[in-house]
Amino acid sequence: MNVFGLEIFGVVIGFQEVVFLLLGGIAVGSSLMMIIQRNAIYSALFLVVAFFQFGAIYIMLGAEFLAALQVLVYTGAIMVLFLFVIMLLQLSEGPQLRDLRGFQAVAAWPLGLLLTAELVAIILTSKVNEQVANVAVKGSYPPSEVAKYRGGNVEVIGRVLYGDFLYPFEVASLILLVAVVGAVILSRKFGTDDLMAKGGIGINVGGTSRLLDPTPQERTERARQDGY
Amino acid sequence: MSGEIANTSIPLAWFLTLSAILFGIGLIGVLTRRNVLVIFMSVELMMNAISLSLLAFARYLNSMTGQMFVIFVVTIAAAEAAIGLGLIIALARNKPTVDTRDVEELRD
Repeated sequence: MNVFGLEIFGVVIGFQEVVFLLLGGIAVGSSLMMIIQRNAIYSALFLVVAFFQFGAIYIMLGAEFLAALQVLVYTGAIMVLFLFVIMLLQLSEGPQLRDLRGFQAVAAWPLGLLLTAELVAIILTSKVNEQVANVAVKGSYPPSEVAKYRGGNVEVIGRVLYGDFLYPFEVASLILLVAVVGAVILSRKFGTDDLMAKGGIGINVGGTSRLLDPTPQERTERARQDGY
Repeated sequence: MSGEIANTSIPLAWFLTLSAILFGIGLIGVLTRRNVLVIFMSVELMMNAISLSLLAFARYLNSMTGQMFVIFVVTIAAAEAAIGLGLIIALARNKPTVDTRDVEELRD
């Protein structure tokens, strides 16, 4: 079905290919803008654009649930968290958000581009398309099989996640719990009347390092209390 | 076409190439930028590029395992964002900066 009458590297350019090239081009362009932009807020917004393209490509790959997850979790939660932190730090103006470029930046661009070129060259010269097509035993979820479930992709993910992947799923919940506790402890403010600051949990961020290195007065006070 | 999902005609190598390019851009971002927040965003971009190649392989091998891996990648990314941004806030309280060169107390 050669709609556009185009052919690149033996691939007939149909509707899907045009959509893919469009999405991929926008993703690459906005990612480049993300690392070039001097202002962190613009970087975050360009990354949001790139994440939306990722979501659309996930739909092309038949992963509808993950496309929704991409938009909800990445653009909806993580990037909003980034924007909140940028706002909270009040660095939105002035020189603090600007990057200065040094020797490392000069070396990093050619080396990074070289690595990318190597990866692309390896992928394009390999026989990965044929190898994937000729795999003897494929997975048990081709699109035709997924379409048999009433819930489609979401139902299949639920069955596999709560079946074969139940144990990793539980471990992931534990990781999230640890992350929540860690984030609370890391970002809380330690005042003088703070119970945790007196009790000895967490890192000191106020400048008066009560727990890590007590002042001489505190040392003598503690020594007196301990009966020395 | 009712209920039938059309087989994609795009070669797998295209998806892998896009993934590699985006991974490279993220890597360059990590290496060139000095802003902690932008470095962090570049890491997120690299993880997304990996997710893309995982999903492409999952699709072309008719497997669900790739999609499961991506779910866990997203979970870890969320946990990492919470911890990392907490660290950045704690850092900014001690020292009003987000520049990696200003934070070298652990050097030598």
